[in-house]
Amino acid sequence: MNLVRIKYTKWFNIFKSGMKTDNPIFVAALGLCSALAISNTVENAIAMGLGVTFVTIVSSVFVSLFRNYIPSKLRIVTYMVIISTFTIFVQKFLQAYFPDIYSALGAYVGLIITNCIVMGRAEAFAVKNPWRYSLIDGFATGMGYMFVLVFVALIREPLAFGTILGYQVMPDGFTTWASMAIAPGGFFILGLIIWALRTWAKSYDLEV
Amino acid sequence: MKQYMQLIIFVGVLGLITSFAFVGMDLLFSERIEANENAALYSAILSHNDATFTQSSMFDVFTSEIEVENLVVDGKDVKMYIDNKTNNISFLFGIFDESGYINDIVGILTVEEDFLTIVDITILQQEETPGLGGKVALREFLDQFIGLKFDDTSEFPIIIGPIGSNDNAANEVDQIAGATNTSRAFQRILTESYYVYKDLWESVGQ
Repeated sequence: MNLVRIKYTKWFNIFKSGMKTDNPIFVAALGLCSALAISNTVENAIAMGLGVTFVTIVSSVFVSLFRNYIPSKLRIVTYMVIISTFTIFVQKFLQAYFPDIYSALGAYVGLIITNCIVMGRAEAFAVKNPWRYSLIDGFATGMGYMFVLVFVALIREPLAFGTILGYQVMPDGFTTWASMAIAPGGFFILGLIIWALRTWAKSYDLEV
Repeated sequence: MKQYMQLIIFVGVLGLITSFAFVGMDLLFSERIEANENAALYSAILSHNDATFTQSSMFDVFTSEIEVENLVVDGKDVKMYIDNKTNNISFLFGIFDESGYINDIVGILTVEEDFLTIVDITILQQEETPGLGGKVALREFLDQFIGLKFDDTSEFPIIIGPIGSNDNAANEVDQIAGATNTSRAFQRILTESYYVYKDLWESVGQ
């Protein structure tokens, strides 16, 4: 009974929307640049996914909390300032506590600032909703992004390096595919995954 | 007028809060970031000189084994690290004008006391394309340099040439497959840094 009721709660629908029906990558096709670049290893995908999730959550909560004080003429600039502040926090945190991951992600951590997902959720959701729903929306969108990233990385890493999370999974003598380590390889895998997930989620662009 | 004043006040307050946030972050993380950078540098130098150390003993071993020579090049402070046991000399490369294909490539190079023979080389920082130019930091590429001698009579004392080790000159290694621009940039970086440090080494009369 309770499970049935959960289906009709607002927070559940927000979560479902971020993960599935409005998934930032396979439905909205946002944040693809970093997704293609860093999804060549699972470790990078998890680190980037967590970074984007954190920035989306706190940016959305801040935008939601202060939405009545942000002048409409300055709202985009304000979002940028809020997002960049938290992105720099993530960048410095990784540099201080996870220097190897920071090195592996390179410039892409800083580029969370320009990730359309973060700005998109601030403008499309947080500015119109209370902070608790914005928090769930930020979390769901970030997790939706990370889910696809890890999915892609689970295919790319074994083919590109013969490993998953650094552990050898391919047989000895396996010839690694250099193309899977670079963005074009990610492009093909992501294309196939978007096709598969859209079919699964029944998310089609219908002709009018 | 009142509306514009409100906008200006909002921007001022936003700027002030953000500035405090940045100062706070700097206070929170800068010490650890600097310690990480030093640890990576010390670890590379000690490893190049086959020193025995652990994470906890690294700073003590470094202090006892490595002599640091502080020098100045065109107003820029640079350091040369001399190992007391082997007399090998280590220095940071990639800190002058030349940079990688995408961004700076910084690393540590150790040479024997003849200032010609390469003992080892490690990359500390690079932002080249992952999977292509990014391979500049991998051991399989860097290990090619070990034991080679710089040709200090040539325009390029070390050559990063086409793949095919059979045809390589005595001071030549194979370039990174699919990353010709990074390979060329790396050759320029090594050339520039080598000649700067060689002049310094000779000028201090070692």
